[in-house]
Amino acid sequence: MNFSKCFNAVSSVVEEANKQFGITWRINNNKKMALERSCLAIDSLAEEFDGVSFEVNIDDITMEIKLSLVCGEIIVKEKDHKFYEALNNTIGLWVKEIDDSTLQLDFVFPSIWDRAI
Amino acid sequence: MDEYNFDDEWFDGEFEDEEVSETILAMAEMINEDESRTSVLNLERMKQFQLAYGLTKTMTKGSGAKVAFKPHSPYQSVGVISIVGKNIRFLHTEYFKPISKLASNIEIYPRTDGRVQINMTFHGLTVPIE
Repeated sequence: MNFSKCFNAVSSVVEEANKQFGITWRINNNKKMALERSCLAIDSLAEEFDGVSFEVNIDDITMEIKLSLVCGEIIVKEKDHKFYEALNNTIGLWVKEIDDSTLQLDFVFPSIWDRAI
Repeated sequence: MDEYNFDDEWFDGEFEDEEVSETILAMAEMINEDESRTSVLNLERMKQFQLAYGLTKTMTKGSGAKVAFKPHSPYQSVGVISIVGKNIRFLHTEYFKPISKLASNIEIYPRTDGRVQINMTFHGLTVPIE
């Protein structure tokens, strides 16, 4: 799969959302860096498990960030596998089937915005 | 050439069907031999297995997923926690960290009935008496 790095996709959606949220909210850089670390781990998962696509959605109300990875079957043997690293910063993981050979994993991250005042 | 990327010097890079069958049979014999030895329950490992089951139930609560606890399956020394559902939602994902240290491996795969199955396997539930 040739795909944009996960964090590039996330950054562009975050930038758009930032414009919509306005001046009462600002991005917390520490939270953004934590998100970036998770994205790097998700890139590894995409490479290892035949990733097909990424999709990023930000909830207008909760500001939670959902990163969907469509990929093949997943097998994790190592205790320090990137799968656990990707989960580090999440508040939820949703798993469903797309077809006989493809899964969708939704990594749900908390908001990276804080109130500006 | 070496599409399987093996480094073993005895491996010449291609499996013939007969070799695969022989390898599988050899592995089956090893497993049978292991399983036929007198063994005792590894209580500590069994507790870890039960803890992981409890954490998994907590993580999947309300998601509609079926969580099954299968000790000594498919072999007496192995146990599996399986989670099956159409859309499995895990909350409290921080519990994956302790599970990662306890489980021998985790598999996530699509089934032919439109559902997803997640298996967490635990080896070492029994130990042979030497």
